[in-house]
Amino acid sequence: MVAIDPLIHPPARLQLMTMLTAVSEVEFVTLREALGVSDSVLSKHVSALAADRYVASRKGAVDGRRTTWISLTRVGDRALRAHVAALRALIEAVDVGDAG
Amino acid sequence: MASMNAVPSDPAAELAAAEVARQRLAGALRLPSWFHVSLGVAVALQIGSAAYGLGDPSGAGLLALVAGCLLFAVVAWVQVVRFRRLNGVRVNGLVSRAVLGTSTWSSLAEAGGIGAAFWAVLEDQPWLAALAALAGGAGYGLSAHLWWRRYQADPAGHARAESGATLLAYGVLAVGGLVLLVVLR
Repeated sequence: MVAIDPLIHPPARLQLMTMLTAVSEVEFVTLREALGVSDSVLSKHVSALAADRYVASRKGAVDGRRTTWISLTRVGDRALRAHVAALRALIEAVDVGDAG
Repeated sequence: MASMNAVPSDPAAELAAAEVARQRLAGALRLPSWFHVSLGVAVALQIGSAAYGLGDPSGAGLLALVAGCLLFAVVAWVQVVRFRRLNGVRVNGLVSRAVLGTSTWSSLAEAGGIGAAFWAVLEDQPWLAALAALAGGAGYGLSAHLWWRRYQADPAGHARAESGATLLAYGVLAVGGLVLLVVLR
């Protein structure tokens, strides 16, 4: 059975990483607004995910203002797929159990 | 890294929430104004100038060909930058498939337009060449529109661009074909 990934386990991180699959790179501010969390909360999630190379962040500038761009790495993409497969397996197991 | 220690209380709800979040982000993205139209017009002008340039062996012909390519490059660059500023995201699939035209329909529209326009120039049918350029540009713009609709329906499946090797192969083919036409004109 595929294992649940504790790093992606918190729902906010699962949402964050799933959102990153829709784009190649997203600005920190855009991601914060889409997730509906504060700067500090998003920073903690990004730092935790970046520590294991699930996401990458780089500094940049847009219209003269400094910004941070965040993207999903290949390692993160693989981890997310495995985690989602594990969740689906759990759902299936629960459904089969309910049916039995 | 993975372990079985963490077990979600409601995995179905968590997955559903994540998918909703992804759709919300993709659904909130907006294309810059005149996106499809500007691309279509730039491609039509590029096709027209390329056909004229290939049919005219003088220096003016070559100049028109280069000017058409430069115009398209500027329009493409401006629209990509506007998209990034408008949305705070980069979508490589949009850049390669919709803007640079590596999707099947974009490639067919542009190649078909150039072929037909070049033939019309050789046959001394300028109006037919203009019509072919317009049709190629319209097809290109429509293809970009269709790609955007596919992306909105399945953002994860369309966000990525082709691999670097594939893009390089496209570039070599395009430049090689153009050089061949210039040499053979």
